[in-house]
Amino acid sequence: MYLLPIFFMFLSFFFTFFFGKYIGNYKNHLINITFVAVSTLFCYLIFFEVSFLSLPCYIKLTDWIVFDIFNVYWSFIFDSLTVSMLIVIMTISLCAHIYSISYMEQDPHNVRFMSYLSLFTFFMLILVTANNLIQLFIGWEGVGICSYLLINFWYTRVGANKSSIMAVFTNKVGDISLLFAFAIIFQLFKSFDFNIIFSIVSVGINNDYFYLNYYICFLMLIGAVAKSAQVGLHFWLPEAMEGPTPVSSLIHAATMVTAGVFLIVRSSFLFEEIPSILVWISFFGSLTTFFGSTVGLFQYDIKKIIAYSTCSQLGYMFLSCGLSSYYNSMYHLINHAFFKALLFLTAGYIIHAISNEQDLRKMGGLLKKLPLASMMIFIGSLSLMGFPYTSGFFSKEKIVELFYNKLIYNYEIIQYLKYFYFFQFLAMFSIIITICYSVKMYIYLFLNKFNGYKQYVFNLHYGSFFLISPLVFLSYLSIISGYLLNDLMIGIGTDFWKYSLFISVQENNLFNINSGFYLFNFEFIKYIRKIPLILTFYFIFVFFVFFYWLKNFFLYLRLSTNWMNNLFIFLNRKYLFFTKNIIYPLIDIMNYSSLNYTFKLFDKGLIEILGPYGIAKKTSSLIKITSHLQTGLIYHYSGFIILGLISYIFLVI
Amino acid sequence: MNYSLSYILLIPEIYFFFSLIFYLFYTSILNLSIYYKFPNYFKNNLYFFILILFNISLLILNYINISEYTISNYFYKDTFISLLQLFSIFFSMLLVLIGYSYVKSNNINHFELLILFLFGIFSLCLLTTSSHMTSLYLLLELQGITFYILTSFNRRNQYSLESGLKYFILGSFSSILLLFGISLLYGFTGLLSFSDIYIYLKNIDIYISNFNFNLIAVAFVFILISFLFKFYAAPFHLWIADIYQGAPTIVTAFFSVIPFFSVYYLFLKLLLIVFVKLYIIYNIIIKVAIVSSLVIGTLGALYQKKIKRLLAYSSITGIGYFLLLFLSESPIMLYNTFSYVLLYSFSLLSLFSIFLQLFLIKDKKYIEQLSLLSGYININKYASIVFLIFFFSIAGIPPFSLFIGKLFLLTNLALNKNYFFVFLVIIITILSCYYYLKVIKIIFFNNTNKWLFVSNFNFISSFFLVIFSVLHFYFFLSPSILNVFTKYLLFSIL
Repeated sequence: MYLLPIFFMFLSFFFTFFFGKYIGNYKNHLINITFVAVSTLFCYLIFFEVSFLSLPCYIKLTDWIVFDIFNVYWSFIFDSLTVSMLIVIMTISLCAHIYSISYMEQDPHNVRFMSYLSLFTFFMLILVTANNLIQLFIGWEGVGICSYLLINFWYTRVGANKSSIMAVFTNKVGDISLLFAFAIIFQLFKSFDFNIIFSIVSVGINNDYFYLNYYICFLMLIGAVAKSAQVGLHFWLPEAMEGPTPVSSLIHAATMVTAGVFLIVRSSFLFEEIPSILVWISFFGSLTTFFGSTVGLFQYDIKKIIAYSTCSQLGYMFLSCGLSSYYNSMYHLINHAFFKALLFLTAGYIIHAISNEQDLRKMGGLLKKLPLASMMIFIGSLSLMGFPYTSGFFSKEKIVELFYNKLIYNYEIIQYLKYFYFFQFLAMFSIIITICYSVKMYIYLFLNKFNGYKQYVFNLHYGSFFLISPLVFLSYLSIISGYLLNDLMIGIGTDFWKYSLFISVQENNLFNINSGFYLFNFEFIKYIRKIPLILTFYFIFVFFVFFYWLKNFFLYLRLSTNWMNNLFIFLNRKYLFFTKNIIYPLIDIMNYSSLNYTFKLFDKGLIEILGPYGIAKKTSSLIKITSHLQTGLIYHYSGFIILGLISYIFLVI
Repeated sequence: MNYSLSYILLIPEIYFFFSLIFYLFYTSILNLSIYYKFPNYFKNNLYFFILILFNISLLILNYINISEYTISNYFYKDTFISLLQLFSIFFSMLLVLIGYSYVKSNNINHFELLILFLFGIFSLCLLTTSSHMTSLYLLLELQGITFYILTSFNRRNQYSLESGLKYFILGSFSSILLLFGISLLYGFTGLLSFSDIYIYLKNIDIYISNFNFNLIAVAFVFILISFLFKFYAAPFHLWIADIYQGAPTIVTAFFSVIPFFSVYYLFLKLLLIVFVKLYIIYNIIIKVAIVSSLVIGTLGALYQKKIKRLLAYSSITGIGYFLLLFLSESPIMLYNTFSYVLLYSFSLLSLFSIFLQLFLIKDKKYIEQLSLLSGYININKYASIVFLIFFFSIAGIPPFSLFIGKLFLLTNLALNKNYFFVFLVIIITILSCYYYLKVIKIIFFNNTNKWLFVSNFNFISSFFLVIFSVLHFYFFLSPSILNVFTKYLLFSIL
């Protein structure tokens, strides 16, 4: 049963890709959705069996590379971490599959599109179920390739080509650093098996190379940063919105971008050993939350706003990992997947309805035209903002509150305390900005007057059942998922995660009720707990006032001084320094140095002379000498033998 | 040391000898009979030949679990030696089966050919067991004489005769060196048995009895050089290209593939056990031999236009690889080198077995020029793919067997910190890839206007070729299968 979801997803891809075009859309979709649905059903069964019945499952299917001490097996792991990813992936995937039946109806290549979606889901399943790093890497690269194929699905568009190439290249940075990490891991542990690596790390063997652990973690972190679009390697994610909307919802909101977080959570055994790397994770996480939310605030493309919002939420997941609260990170991942998929799919619904217009400023007043969409955006935004008792409330606020824990209890990283104040400020501030852009988006979409073209309204068309049903389903999930999973995943003393992730001892004691040892827990201090909540309520009100009644306030503010206008441009252009001040000079420097040093000195210089050109030239002259030796005369040959004999005898004596 | 007179250990060889004599009489009486008008029963003889070898291999398998001296220290037998004999017998069976069409169409299907092959195999089988300088010399001579005749077997071809004569003169020259070395050794020590020499050298102190030691070293150098000549290691390699070229292809295949295990094993035994005390002496000689064979073999092969000359030079390079064994102290190198030897011989066998099939119907001769193969892909697609597999394998390109062999060798060298040799071997491998892949390029990409009329492959050879190409994959996927054989080497050598 455990391998059936993977098998069915592969079958879904295989069937759709190779035979889908012969049997027509209807039958193809029927078969494809059936496979995905069956796979989803099995995933829920697995979730039930592994997490509720506490039966983690390890499957060693067959050997793959068995060579000297380099043993890699096709082995699968089904623990709490995997199954909680599984249900997210399969639920969103099923929604995206059903949604794209209707969304891609007009596209002549929709069969190919469905097959790519299935292939992506298959690779994602491989990634999360892998029990060794090599197998994980297959999934890692596979989802990258599928991301490329799906962003570039409308390959006649130049924008799509550019952004897909950008996605691949940026991810490649992370992939290469991940490969380096693998190399060091093999040097250190002589194995790629998670069980072996993590058990060796936990025991803490006395090895000369053990300091390499730091580099492993850092390189893995860079891989995760590239995949999860953290600041520095983030620019591919907003660009990836060129792809069809189901792709954005499945890949660039719910599943693939969370692979980086998943990697960190999976290798928490490594990360926990090195507190200083956790500071790096918190750094990336908090900076990304701040960055994503501030840039998202000033975007006008509806999908880009949600993309930057995804960036910032991924930052929260990283932040949670950095505060060594991996279960919170996974919990937020699940909740975020549901409400962000909902937001994306609804955005797609709106875009679909008003003649593929994506600019926020050309919308407005859609409350009466698309009431369902307004409900969905409302629910999704509330979840995103962390309104009480929606899913974001349970997970996101908790992450910000985790700082209190960290500040008070972890003495090991006391020297980094000053940084954590800074991180906390960024995280808190980006909660406010999240509220700001959510309110702004809702008001621009639904409450303002309609600002687009006449044709949009005349050609307005509503989606079919397939377009709407995933939205409704996801809206329910994004309301209740937080409440349902709260006690299960992050409740005090929960044993849901068991041995699937590792938190170092002094942190763990806080939640260990059985030992009765918890000195102080922020959960029990009323007023500190209420701070983010109050922030949420207050700022929803404030921004509603600003955006709805004082419509031109921000415009006047922007135009009031030159400085303000510059700030606006700075944020609207996605922090100019990334492109103008860092990327372009970097490209110039690289270009110059690669031409003058790498190319002229090494490639065409030393390597040519010592390498192919030099050897080829030298050999042709040496060949002449050897061919001169080959005279074909016996007395020459015997003379050579005697010469050799005599020289050897003199060599010896 | 066990002075045993139990001839029972040598029963396979005794059986071999008697069946050989019987076969000799039988074939010569039948085939030379005036009554039957000199009939040519080559095919029947071939079956008889196969039957004899099959029986012997059964007998060897029967006595495989022994390790004892027989006939007062002249012969020694253990499991690995039996395995080597089996390999020799098995490979020669395959070769003769595959080369049957060659023999027939070249009109050298005389009964003497098989007798000479049998003599060669017999001498090689017994050579592996020899543990005495006398038996060593005599069996080497028997083998040598057989090969001289085999080389000049195609007596209508003057090149064959010329190369046979060359081989005879140079071979006897090297035998003289061997004999001289042995006599010097006997003169200084009075010992001929391997075990006696080993014990004598073990108890001698280098720093005290300096004079005597130097003399033994000189005697040993003579023996060593004679062996290096037999291996065509570099300064003594000059004869090999001419002889490969001149001899009939089946004979070339025979003495490039089959004698190697036995002679190489004996060489290992001499250097690693008997004269191991002289390591500091032969170390430098071996190093010179390695470098020169690698370099000269590769450089010589680069611009060769004929198949057999190319393979001759490539086997000189092969010798360079095999001698790398003596650079490292680890016993794992023994495994790896012997695996490499097996795989390399197997690759050579497969290459020769495909060249034994390329008969030009119009010209009534076999393809010798590489350029004639141009555009062969259009004529026989599957055979070209088999070509590709074999050449990729011998060039050491990954999904084939010899890559594993080279990888193991290089890994061992790197672990022993012989970085110079690692670098050298890598350069040589790159260069050798050039001339192996050039053949592939000629087959797959060269276009000609001429039609090439090549005969079809017969059933037996195509059957074996398919099996060989599958095995080339198989040895890559599971190289540990070779350890089944090579694990006995440690017991045998050390």
